[in-house]
Amino acid sequence: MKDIIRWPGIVFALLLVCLVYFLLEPLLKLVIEQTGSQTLSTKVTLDSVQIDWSEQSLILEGLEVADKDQPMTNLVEVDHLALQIDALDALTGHLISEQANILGIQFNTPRAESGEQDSADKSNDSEDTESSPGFDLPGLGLPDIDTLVSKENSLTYKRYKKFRQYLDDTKADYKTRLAALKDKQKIADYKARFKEIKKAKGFMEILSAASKAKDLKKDIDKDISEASQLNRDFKQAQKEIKRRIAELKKSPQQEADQLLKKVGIENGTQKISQFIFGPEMKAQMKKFKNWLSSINDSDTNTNENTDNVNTKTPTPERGKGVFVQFAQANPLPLVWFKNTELSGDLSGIGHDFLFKGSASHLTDQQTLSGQPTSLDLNLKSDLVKNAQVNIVVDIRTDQKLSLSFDVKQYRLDKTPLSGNFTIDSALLDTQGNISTINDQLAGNINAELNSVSLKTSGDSFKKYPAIEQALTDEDHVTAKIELDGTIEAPQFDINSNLDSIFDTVLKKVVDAQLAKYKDQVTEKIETMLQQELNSSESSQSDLIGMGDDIAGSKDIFKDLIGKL
Amino acid sequence: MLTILAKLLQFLNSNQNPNQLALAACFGLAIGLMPGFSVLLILLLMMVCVIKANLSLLVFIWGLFEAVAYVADPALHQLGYALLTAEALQPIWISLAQSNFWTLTAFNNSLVMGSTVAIIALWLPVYFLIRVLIVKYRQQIQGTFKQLKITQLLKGSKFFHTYQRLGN
Repeated sequence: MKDIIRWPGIVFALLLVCLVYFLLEPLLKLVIEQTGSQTLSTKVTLDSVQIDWSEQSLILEGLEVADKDQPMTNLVEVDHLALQIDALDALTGHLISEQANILGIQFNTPRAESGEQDSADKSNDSEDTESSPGFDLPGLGLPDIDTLVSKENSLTYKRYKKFRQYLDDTKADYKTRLAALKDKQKIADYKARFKEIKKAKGFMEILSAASKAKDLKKDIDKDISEASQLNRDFKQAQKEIKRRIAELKKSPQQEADQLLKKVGIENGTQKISQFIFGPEMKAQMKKFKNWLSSINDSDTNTNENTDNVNTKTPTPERGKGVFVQFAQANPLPLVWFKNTELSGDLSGIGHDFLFKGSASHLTDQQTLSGQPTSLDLNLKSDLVKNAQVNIVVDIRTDQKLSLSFDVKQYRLDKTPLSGNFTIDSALLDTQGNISTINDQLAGNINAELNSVSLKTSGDSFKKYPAIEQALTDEDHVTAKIELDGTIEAPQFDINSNLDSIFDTVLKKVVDAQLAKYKDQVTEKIETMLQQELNSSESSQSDLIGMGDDIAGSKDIFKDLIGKL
Repeated sequence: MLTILAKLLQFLNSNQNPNQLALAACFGLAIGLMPGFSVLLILLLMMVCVIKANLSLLVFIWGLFEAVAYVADPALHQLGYALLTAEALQPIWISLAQSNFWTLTAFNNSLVMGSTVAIIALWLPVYFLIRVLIVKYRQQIQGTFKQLKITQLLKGSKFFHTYQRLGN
């Protein structure tokens, strides 16, 4: 044994182990910083690394990940990260922890020194800061009367044209019939026949004249009958003209009613809550969609990286060789924190909340961990009494995500809802569930706002102070929101007590407005009609003037009969 | 370098056990051929610290086989890759892949596998060859070598003084 063992060598080996023991922490710090920086393409720094050999735990203090787009800002900062790890797993590159504590998580914190990296990709991912669009009050913007009422589209004008046509046709008809009745040639013929009858002398001539006189009388009687008929028809036509004029005079009113139906109150009673809450819901859904996309992207990248390892071609660099991958019975993800206690601050991402909670199965490869990732967070703030959020992400087969929340007495101050509405102050109670499977979206949210002070803005409300007053007077607002459709094109069905409040007030306002508007429309049509009727007055007078001729036509023939 | 060569000659001429010298040569061969990223290299270095092997000879052979490894790299890679992808051996490799220890050794690297096989194959032949050569050298060549004129000349050189100093 003495011949084989080199005792000073053992001491040297022990010294080497001690050296490694003392240098391991700074070495590990260096490895984590370098590997993290390379993997995330941004500067990763640590204050210290501690290894607790008895507990098999690793403690990272002051972890900072720089934002590659803003080098003086940390994307995320973690005060304390403690992991119970399996040393052998860790040495093979798998960070597997049964119990982890990630405490003091903060976002977008300032950095003491620049986190810029030479090799960092400078992508200009400008955040889409689309503001909530405003809206016009539905149905309250009545069209200009001149646009609404035009000769071409006016029902009254069409009716007038028909009347005018009737008048002209009637006039022409009676002119023709009167002309036929009072035909000079015919009357001259009658007179000539009468003279010839009167000339008769002798029995045979008188007998023949009597027969001719009988025929003449028959013809004249026929004309008298025709004249009587013409007179009766004319009187009837006069009545019809009067009826039509009376009808025409009613037409502006009827037309105004019909026109106002098209633009009237029915359009004004749409769901106002869609307009109040809709833009904010859409903005929130867009954020949700972006977050979901980022999860999917990171998962895709992880899978791509795994694929790259598996499909390495055997063309090695000298001294490097090729790693051949073998199927493992229980392959492990690169990172898997089975149970994690979390705490941190969300103020860096625009939410003034501290959070505390737990996460299970945080991993980069869910297909390997075989478990969905879930987060239970309790949000704390001076603004909220109690807020619970539960998130479950399951991307093992389909992309499934479910989010449920229960928020009690969240104080809202000067919170914009849409372009025209701002919650000046309110206490919000809300519960909801939102779930997505691949692109499909489903969910429901109940919101109850108490002690609400709702402010409105925009020209629409200035024009209708009653609506503004009713909305600002309301101190209790409820909303039930049903989500449906796809993440790309979400559908919202929002029901709120604001709808009925708005409808009632709006109806009153619109009714008053419409009555005034209707008068204006009617007046306009009446004026137009009167102008047209005035222009047809001469035509009417001509027709009425024909009445004397028609009445006199009978007398001509009666005189002839008298003479006969 | 001069010191190492002088030490080498001194050990060859000394009464040091030929087994220790042969073992040192084998370790030098193994460390020289083994790629740096395998845990096996650390194990070999630890063994060298603990086991009595001639360090000068080891360092000399290590350097020699580093050069050999560089030249033989493609052949070692081919050998390792052929073994790792051989159908008949898959059950063995798959069972080893389930263990973290074996994963740490990077056995699934073609160069590590090729080098390991080369080390195993060369270990015993090199051991016995070196041992035989040392014994033969001491028995037959050492006396003749001392009487050569060139040796007499060298005795007056700086190299010989170094050699002498080490002996003292």
